[in-house]
Amino acid sequence: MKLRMLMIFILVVATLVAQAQAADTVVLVTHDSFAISESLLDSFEAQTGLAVEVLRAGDAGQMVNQAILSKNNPLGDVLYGVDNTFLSRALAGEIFAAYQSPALDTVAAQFLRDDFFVTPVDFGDVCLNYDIAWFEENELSLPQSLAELADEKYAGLLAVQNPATSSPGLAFLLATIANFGEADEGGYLDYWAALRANDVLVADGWTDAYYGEFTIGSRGAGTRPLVVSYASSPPAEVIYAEDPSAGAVTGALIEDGMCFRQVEYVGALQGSANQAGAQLLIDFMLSAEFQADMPLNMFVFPVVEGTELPAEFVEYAQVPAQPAFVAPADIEAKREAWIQAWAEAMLR
Amino acid sequence: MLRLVDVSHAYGDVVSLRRLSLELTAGEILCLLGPSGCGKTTLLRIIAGLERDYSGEIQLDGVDIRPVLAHERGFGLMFQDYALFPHLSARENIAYGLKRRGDNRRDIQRQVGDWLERVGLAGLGGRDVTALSGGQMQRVALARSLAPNPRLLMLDEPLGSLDAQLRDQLALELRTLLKAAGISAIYVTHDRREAYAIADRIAIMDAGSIQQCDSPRQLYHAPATGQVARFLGLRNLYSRADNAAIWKLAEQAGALRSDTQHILIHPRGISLGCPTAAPAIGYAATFLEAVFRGENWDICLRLEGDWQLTFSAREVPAQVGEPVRVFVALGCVLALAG
Amino acid sequence: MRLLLSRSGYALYLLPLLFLGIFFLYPLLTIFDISLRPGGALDLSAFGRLVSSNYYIETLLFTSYQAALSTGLTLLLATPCAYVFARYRFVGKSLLLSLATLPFVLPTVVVALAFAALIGKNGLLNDLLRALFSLDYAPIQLERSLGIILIAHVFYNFAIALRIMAGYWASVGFTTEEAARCLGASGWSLWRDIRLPLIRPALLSAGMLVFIFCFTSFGVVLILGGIRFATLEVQIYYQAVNIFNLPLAAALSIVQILSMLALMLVYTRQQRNLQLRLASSATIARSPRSAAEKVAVGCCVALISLLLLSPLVALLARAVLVEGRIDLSNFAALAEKSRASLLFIAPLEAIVNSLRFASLAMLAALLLGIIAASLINRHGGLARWWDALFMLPLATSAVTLGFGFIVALDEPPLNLRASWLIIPISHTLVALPFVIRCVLPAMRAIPPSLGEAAQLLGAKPHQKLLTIDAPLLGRSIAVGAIFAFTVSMGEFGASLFVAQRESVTMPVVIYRLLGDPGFASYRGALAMSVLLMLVCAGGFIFIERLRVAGLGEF
Repeated sequence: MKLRMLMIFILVVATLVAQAQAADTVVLVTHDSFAISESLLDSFEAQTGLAVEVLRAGDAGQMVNQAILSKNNPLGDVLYGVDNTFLSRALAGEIFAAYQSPALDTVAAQFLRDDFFVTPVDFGDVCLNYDIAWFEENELSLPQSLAELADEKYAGLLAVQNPATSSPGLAFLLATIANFGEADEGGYLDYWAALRANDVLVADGWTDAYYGEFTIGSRGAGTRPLVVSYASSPPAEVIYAEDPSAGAVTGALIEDGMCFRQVEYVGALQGSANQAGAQLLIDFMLSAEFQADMPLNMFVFPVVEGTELPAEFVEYAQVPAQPAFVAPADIEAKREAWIQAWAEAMLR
Repeated sequence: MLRLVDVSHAYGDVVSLRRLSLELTAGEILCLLGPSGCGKTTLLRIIAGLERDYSGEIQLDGVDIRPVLAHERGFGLMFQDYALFPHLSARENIAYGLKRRGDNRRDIQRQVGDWLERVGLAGLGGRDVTALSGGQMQRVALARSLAPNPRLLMLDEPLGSLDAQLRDQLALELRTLLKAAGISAIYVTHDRREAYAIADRIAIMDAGSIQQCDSPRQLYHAPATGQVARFLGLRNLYSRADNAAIWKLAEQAGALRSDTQHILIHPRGISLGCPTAAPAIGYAATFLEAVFRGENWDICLRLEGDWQLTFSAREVPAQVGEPVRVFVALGCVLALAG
Repeated sequence: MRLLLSRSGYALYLLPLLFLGIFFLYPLLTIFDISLRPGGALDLSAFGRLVSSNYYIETLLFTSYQAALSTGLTLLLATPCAYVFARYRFVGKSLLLSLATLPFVLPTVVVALAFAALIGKNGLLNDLLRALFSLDYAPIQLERSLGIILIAHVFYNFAIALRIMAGYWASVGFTTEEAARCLGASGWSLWRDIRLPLIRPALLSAGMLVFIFCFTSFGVVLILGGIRFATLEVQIYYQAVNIFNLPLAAALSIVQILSMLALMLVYTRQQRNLQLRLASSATIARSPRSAAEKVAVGCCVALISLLLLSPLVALLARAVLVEGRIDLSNFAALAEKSRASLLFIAPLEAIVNSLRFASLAMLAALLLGIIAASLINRHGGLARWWDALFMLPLATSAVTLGFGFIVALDEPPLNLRASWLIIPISHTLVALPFVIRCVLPAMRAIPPSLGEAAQLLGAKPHQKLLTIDAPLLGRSIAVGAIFAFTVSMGEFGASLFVAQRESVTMPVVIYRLLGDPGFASYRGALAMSVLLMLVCAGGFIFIERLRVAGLGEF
């Protein structure tokens, strides 16, 4: 018995040691929402002779935290999926090695950065989605600005997410801060107080809000025809509808300042085993094939100019011209204070 | 074969064994007889290796067995509650020790069959042990502890929970079985009748030490102390505080010594009408009462000098309150040192 | 059990202690060290922050308050049901027991959707009531209230309490109760004077587990409770993940662990002095005879159906019904590789993974749990501490321990942080307390003479464990196994730390499908949830079968 135990232990240890690192592997650390066509990765592996191992590390926040905690012995070679709300934390944690990809020339100017620790890959806009049929039936006009949402006629219609725990929830809070500022009088807190008076519903996360409260997502169980979601949600509704030819059932409100843009970045992890492989993978993420593959897999928009979008995106997705903007450094510095203040305003 | 020297043990502050020494010869059946709480069970557990915190020596055939673990000693122990494994059948219970010994399947089957036969349970092997009667359970427990052919078998009040009739019958069977197998055994009981029936030697235990260790006959006829006599159920035991007439009798018998603590008048030396053995002294007595005990009566007399004697007789000699004459054989007046 | 103290016994005892040391204490202490000594010097200012504002004290109070209420409610409902389950035989009893255990595996977000479908404003129950009484408002308004937190906690924990108490009750039997009846006890006095004192150990055991669960409740409070409610666990997650304030998260974790530890020490002291004797042969349940008994059985079945089964049925209905007709296309779609995505996982693969991890975790938890229980069962001064120690993984926030894994288990030979092994290992940590809580009371009931008899017949310590203790503990081990299996099937926190294909489990697939846009993926998630319940139910039946077969063999 004792001997058998010992043998099992040795076996386990041996397997673990053997597993530790295969030579020609590049390890991609990413969040749970990462998705990409298998054939695309196969072709990358064929071109470079590198095997790609994908390591999922929870949501974007968890992923960045894990990367910082394991800075001295990185989890992988490349980290993809840190967005502008967590960028400052990642940069302050000094987890990235600088790399200037030659493919950066093709990226739209608005996404370029002064430092080269991270490379932009894609973006998505957090916008209000609405139930087209509901607004038609109730003959209600769509709100043209965030301020209008506080109007009595939109009372009891909106579902948002808790910014403390939800990424779109935080994005929407940031949009309100960009719109109304932090002044004591007439600032974002007053705005939220008005929303609260207008019976806004705060769900914990996107799933809960969209499938639980949104009239379309919940198929009638929910009562809210307005929900915080993404600009890419309307094409997704069409693509995954039982009858895709029926057309759009939801729309996104993309007036100036009503949306918040999340940009996702990739970076090579400092001190990792395969820096060369990491750089190849970063270049690959800016390649035309990869950029074109993202929309239907992750429902995000490519940052490379001139990338061809899928038909559903062309037809049903809208890109806001002027999203709200908050500097990443401000976000990291004030996130806790903003969320705390928000929570107090919503609970008091 | 087994030798215990100066074994002491305590549960916390309560001393359970005091410098106890004991020897057992091969093939012998030794009974530990004593009141409950006298340390009998503790002693068994120490010999079995179940109790580890004690001082003193234990040798088996001259070899120190203190470091040997319980499951390696090759001793058998039959528990007071039998400790039958309730999830196993009678057959599987008996086979348990044989399996642990690594016997092959066929051998085990044969031996278990033999044992079932020997303890009179042939045909009941498949029975769930919880469905057996008390006597049957006792037999399974016995067969289970004997099957692996232990070097030493210990039995902890094995007949304790059975009714009296069954107890007598099983005690005899047990002795036959043990003798046939030639097994050395230590048998713990608090019932002297059981001990008489089964033992080659009896060790009387009290308060953690052995008071006297002798053959049943020797013990009965010559108890060493008042306590032993009391425990053997001998009546007519008198201490110095009792009536002076008794001490005079002892003096007459020539038994009295300077260290005498008790006087015992052994029942075999008491008779009515005429003496059983000479020399004897006759006393005039009053018949007090007779208690019916089945085969015998317990007769109680008040003697001249105002002391009492109790003994067994086949018949009731007189009416209550009538005078009788009683003889005490001087050879049966024993002076006890303890 | 004392005998296990012999030489090889020590080696056995080391196993669970080593396991706990390496996979729990070491990562936990490492992350605390990193959090509280950021620059090499101890910085305890985070604790100062905890007491400086009322906020965290209120959080602690609310956490205790809701846990106490939830536990009380669960025990209140489960105790009479446990009596009925132990005492009476009725059609569908074991099926009902299995179904009642199913909520345990469901991810909170799925349960939230099921509750919304059932008691939401536009849910089934409100629709029904509105139609019945022609109301123009929703009579049931529980969303984001303390009420729904309590209901969800009862929903999740009812089966634990029911199984622990019913099992215990069956083993102590009903002779005491019958004696009391002969002496004239009846009704309430029978409960107060006889039944409750009799099952006190099980009541405490179940209450303790449920309390810990509710105290560390995360998903239920976050999703169903909404922003007005936060437990310590929610605060820890928020501080660790969203704010990345590790010192504060560590301080909160330590507060949580210490509160639980204190509670467990009190509990284990209470529990240690209580022993029972196994009824010589198992008490056999009988059919209900009088009308009152039949009513009791009926009420119990109705309660379980209403409380536990109706949300499951609502979930099932949502999964298979589209606009009033049955549509199973979502089940079929699960098997199709509709998206050629790299990380698409076929459900069959996820089912196999889940079963693999659950079996591994169950076996490991049983092995370690039985050894640990016998360690605790030794009458030593340390036993109480061991008991409390093995309960601690339940009281530790998952995110704290997860971060601990990342920083502590990163070097060979313990480079586990990216290995799939970390999943069954972490599941084992959480399942261990269940096995111990199930096995320990039964182990205490086994007379020590049985083990000693085995030993004298030549059984080595491990043989004794396998041939005597294990089969005698059969029933409790089976219950422990079911919980270990269920814990592993339903848990998905750990799966998120690791990434290879072979680590994707059923709850992870559900979680990912729910995060994907589109109604089809939503229905896919519901289909997967139904599959999860079915696989678990299958697992229960298998384990129960195994137990019966196992008893015959020994």
